[in-house]
Amino acid sequence: MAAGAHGVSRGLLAYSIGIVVFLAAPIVIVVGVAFTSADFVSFPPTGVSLRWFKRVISDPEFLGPLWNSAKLGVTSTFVSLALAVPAALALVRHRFRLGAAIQAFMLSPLSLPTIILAVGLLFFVARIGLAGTFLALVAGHAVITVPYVLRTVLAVYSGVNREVEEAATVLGAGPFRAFWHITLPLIMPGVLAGAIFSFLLSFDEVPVALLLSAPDTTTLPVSILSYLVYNYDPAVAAVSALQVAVIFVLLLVLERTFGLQRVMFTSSNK
Amino acid sequence: MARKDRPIGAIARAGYARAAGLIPMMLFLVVFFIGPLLVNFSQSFAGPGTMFREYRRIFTDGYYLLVIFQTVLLGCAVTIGCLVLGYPLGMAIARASGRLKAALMFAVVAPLLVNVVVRSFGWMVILGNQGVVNWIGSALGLAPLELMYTWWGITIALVHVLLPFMALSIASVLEGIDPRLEEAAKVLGANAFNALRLVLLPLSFEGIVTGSILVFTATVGSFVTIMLLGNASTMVLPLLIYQQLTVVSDWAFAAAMGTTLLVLVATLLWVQARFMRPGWRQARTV
Amino acid sequence: MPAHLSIREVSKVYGGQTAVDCVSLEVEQGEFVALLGPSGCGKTTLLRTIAGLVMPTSGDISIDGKSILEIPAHKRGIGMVFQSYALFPHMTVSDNVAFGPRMARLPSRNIPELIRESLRLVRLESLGSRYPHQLSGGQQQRVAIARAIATKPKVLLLDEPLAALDAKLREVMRVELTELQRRLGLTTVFVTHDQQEALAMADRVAVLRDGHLEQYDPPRRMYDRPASAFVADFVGQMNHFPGRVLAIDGQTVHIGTDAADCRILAQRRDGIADGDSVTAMVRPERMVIGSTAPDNAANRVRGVVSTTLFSGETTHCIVETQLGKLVVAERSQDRTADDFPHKPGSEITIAWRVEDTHMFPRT
Repeated sequence: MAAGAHGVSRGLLAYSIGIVVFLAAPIVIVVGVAFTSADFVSFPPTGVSLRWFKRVISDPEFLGPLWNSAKLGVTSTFVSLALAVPAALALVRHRFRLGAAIQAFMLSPLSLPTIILAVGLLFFVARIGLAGTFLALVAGHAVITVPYVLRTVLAVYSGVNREVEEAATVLGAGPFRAFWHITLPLIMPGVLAGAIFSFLLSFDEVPVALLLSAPDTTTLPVSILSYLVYNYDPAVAAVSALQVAVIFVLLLVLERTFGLQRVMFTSSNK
Repeated sequence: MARKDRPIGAIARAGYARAAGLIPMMLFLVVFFIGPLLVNFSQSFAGPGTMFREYRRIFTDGYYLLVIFQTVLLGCAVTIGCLVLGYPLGMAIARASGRLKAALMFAVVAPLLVNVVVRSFGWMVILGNQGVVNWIGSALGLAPLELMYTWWGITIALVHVLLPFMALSIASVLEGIDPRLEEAAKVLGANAFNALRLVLLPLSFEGIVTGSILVFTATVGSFVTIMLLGNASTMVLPLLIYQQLTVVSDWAFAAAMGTTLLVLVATLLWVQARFMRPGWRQARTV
Repeated sequence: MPAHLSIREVSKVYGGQTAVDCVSLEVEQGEFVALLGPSGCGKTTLLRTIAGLVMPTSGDISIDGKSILEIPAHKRGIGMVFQSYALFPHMTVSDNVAFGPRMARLPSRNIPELIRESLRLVRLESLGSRYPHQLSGGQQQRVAIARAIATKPKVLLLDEPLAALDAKLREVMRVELTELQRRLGLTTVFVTHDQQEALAMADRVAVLRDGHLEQYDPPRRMYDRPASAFVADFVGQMNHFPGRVLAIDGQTVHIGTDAADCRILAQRRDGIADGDSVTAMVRPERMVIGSTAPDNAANRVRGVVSTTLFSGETTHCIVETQLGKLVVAERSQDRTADDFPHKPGSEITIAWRVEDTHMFPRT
């Protein structure tokens, strides 16, 4: 398989592989450290063992936050879907006078560093009495994830022929049934991609979770962070390795169903 | 028997119902996105003393100005690093096809979705005094490098985090450029380097600008990596904000700094929006 | 089952633009009506108001005497075939056809037979388990038809159904579609910009221009007696002669053209007076060349053959005359081998009868 056949010269290919190694290095190392049998962090690991995984899986300090992160991820994803799908349907089928401006506004949270949002949210929820609640976290994460879902659903829905929905209507499907039987199956790849991406983003998110969580609503990244500030042992590596595994699997699913190219390229990068 | 100007019928009702799908998301964003930004803004005036006291504190104190300067400098350094390392990667992705392309994209995107804490931890292991770099270095007989708690270490780690964004921005623009343009340049006598310099770079300018702004805004907004890999001497604005909030609990001051950061980012985005006028796109092939 | 469709003074205005301007049509039970006109004439908009996809600004549409305007599109009991076919890409052919009956909540044991029957009518029985992307354009179109008729609609609407097919397939489908409509006896309205198609298939043709209804007649009458210059020109071919009424002599009108000493004779009609500006039009096949012209062909003009175009059954002859460039159409077999084709440069006489001159006011 000649590299040249792909339009990529040998030199470029070698360089790319080098960069990929660079990108993967910290993650590979973390996973490697997780398997160490020693009491301290070292790379390469001084022995192979699963003791840190066992330690971590039974540790409530991590299990609680893991559960919180999962709950938060699922909830904020559902909220994002509920908000973004109708918005995408409306934007594509209606020629709003300010359509372009509305769309830009809805995608704007993508460009903002989340720390700014986190700080603002902190003040905001304190004022309305929601400080430290699960709801506040959901709201914060939904703001971050909803533009991604909107983007993917917009991309897929724009490609759906309008007449297909009209045909369903004329054939006797009311608005809800036309959506359920025709529109939804056709946009499903975009919905799923957006949902998976949204879950992953929420699962990973730090600034908002850091500022808005209370002891009982701590998320996994935040607990790892707090742990790291005071400790430096392979437990962190084990938790991280588990998280990496989850992400890897979800990403593979995303790639197979929707294709990563469409998620990343359907962007305001253009 | 004509009926003029009938009231809204079933068809129009369905149309309005559809359009109304926009409302939940708009409302949500106005409340939970614009709301916090506005509250942040107003909070910055809420401190004791005169209205602009917090802002004066920032802009008349050498330390805070230094922090802002360091933040911006870090942003520039990371952006340049991502540009230099990421451009060839972007080229590779754009030119690849089929399996190779899918594999490259997966390899580039996957690290993005791993937690920033995890990645920072990985860099701690690599850059630490007993870390991988020094382990390799000592095997080669080199003196140990102090990379932890330095700007170098932070820059490397941030480049690692943000490189994929730059590469993907560039790849997406390069995909729109006709490969025959580069071939034409070569036929006309340009070597690979000149073809890059005189043909590709100007045409992919838009991607470079987009990627750079993306990386820069992400850098000036990041604090977790810096918190873990740096110390008191490597202070940046977001970390300072975080400290003011959690350690000192000076909300008004933190809000003022947050607004400063917001203005910095918003200015850049405005510049980007101005840049992206259609005129810049004329260089694509028809 | 087939219904009477009544469109009364329907208008549709978008912002400042009038897409449909006060159109009234009656479609009898089982009738096949064509909406014909150039792009942008409002024919598709009108069709969509019948379907319920567009709300008219004013006017009324009723089926069997009852207004359907307040009935939403999914309850009108109308079948529609879209220009893009709009097949559901994620469903098989059978599921596509079954969609209508399923939405109507027909008992599920009856549905397979319904599907079979519909597919049989369009001769696609064996393709039930295929997906739309696996079918050719012609097959997709037939599935779209089967899907529309599976619900046994009261009215069938077709939006440029043959436009996307290649020429040969179009001819075949014209016949099939017409036969299908006869067999089912469905009240049908179809939209086309192809006047040959409209003439061939429809019981009556409605010509639309800029939202106006210009004429609504059976094809033959429309062809023989176009109501306006636009219809005369749009349907079939015409030779044009702009001119002015010089005199009216009994039942005959003398029309003078820019060509000095050549007059065109037409039959008198109401509304045309001495001195009016008019356009005279004559169909190419009504003009006769040379000695075979009948004696009562009072219009005569001499000319020189410029080119002849042989198209199988017909031959078109382009002739330069005082009246301008004329197109004469003859049946190829009417000429013997000797004087066929007319050699370029040969001098001939062209003649036609007074009653074959169409005359319209010129604005």
